[in-house]
Amino acid sequence: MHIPDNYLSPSTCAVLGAAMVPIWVVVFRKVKKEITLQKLPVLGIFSAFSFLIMMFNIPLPGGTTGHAIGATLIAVLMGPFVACITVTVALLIQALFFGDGGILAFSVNCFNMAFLMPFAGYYIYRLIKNVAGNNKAGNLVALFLASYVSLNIAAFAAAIQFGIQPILFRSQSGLPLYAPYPIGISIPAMMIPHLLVVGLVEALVSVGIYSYVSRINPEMIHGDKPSRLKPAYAMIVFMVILSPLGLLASGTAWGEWGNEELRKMLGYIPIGMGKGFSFGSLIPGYAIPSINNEVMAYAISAMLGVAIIFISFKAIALYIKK
Amino acid sequence: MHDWLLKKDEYRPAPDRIFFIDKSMLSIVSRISRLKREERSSTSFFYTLNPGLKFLTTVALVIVISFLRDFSSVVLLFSYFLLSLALIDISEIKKIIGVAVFAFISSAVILTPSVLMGNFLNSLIICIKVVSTVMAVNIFAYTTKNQDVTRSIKTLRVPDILILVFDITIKYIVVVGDIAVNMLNSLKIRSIGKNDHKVASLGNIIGFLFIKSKKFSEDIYSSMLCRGFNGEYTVKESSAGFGLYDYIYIVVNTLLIAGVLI
Repeated sequence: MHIPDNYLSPSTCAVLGAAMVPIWVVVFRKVKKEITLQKLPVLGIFSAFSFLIMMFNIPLPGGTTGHAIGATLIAVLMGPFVACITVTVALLIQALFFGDGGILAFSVNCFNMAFLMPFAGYYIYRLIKNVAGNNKAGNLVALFLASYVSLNIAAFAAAIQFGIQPILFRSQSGLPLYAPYPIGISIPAMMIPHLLVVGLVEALVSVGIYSYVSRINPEMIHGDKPSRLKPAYAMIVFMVILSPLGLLASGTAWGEWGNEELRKMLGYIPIGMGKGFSFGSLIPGYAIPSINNEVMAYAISAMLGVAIIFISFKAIALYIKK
Repeated sequence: MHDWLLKKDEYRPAPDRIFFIDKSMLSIVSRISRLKREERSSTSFFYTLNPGLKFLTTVALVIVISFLRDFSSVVLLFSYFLLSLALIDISEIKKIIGVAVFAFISSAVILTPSVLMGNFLNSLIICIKVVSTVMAVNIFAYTTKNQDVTRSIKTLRVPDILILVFDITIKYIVVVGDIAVNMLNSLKIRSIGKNDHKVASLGNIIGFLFIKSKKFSEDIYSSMLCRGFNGEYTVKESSAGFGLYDYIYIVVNTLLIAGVLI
């Protein structure tokens, strides 16, 4: 998921860089308060640990191997704020010393893997744990789901970042200048492998490490300390409020364009989409029939989505408790 | 004497999958060796440039190239990076070309459908841009000492205490990575015959690394406290001032950037 330079336009990188700077400042202040200035250098050791997690390969069917990112695990072990800093440092070293992930795209990679992933993962973990209760099976299921979902959230963000490039940045002849695949292609291309394989690798690695640490040294786990959960709800509400921005970013909701719009935007219809398949989802294109205001319909879809996710989590938790 | 004692033993262990252990070891070792490398003594052009200047110029060139839309300017910058590459040591040229070729092939694979749909020129431009950026960053990384790489981010006004964190990270990637390699090695040689629990042991190894890291962090904290560390840390900008090479570098790059932008 390390995006190299030149797949995203410089302005995309600048926008996410501008979003990352205040996040870094807030996170750094929070960590400084939590662990005092003198103790700050120990973050270096955990950054080294974050860096090394990504080096471990685990076998996959078909003789290949894959590796985890570990951001959710680090958030659960050390808290999401520390995870944000350590993953940022690990990504910076990868970009500067090894050329993994671009220099300009560094802010985008940090947004996906050092911000979205640990924070989403941590709060999903806490949410499930709160309803499932503090038992071993509940913890492991919570971590498994949190790792799986948060990795897919990060992959989804990357897919959108790729997918908006051809809408926003075209040459005069109408051909895409950066990543050429629109959202209709970039989302399945990114999400199918992440949903089927990479997410499972992430979840399995997290659970394996967590169960070892909790067996040997349970008091080392940060996510087991009771803490207020308000930020989680705040974040979800914030995302629901923000979701209509998806409409502003592209003319049509989330870039789910018809072929005619695609021809206008791209100057051609991608082969796969000319014939393609269309599946009828519950709320096609996030526009609810008979609600004319697009923004309103979008916000409703977002809230319904969140509600469905909440209810399913609680149902799972109930099942675990039993 | 019993019959079975005279029979030839036919023990053939079932084939075992150890590929993932070797691969993990290889990726850790290759990273560690890169971070552990000896301080270089080369006195050729790129190695003696002021690291802060080199860093800022590299970032500027990466930004410029990402804005370019015109094929000839992209090729001009690509040739410039190739020329820069030619000025460094051959052992490093080999490694950087390896990385660049890999970057080119993977970009070409990703962009093939787009090329087939008629978007040839822009796809080619993206490929060349990706390769150029990879070369630029690697030239910087290979010709700069580790401590200077972390120090050069000071030019971006990063707080000193964070630079200290980077320095410690780089040192401890080597220390913790060494432990990881040793444990992977013992996992490999202590499994006799077919061992299906190897993958599960991987979780234990990383879990152990976490506990070990926690111990290291307590140790380093105590030792820093003993030596009078009070949370303040000042990073000196690279002691080397600007020399003749630095001025040549500034002039060439200014001309180049002005040339492609105008």
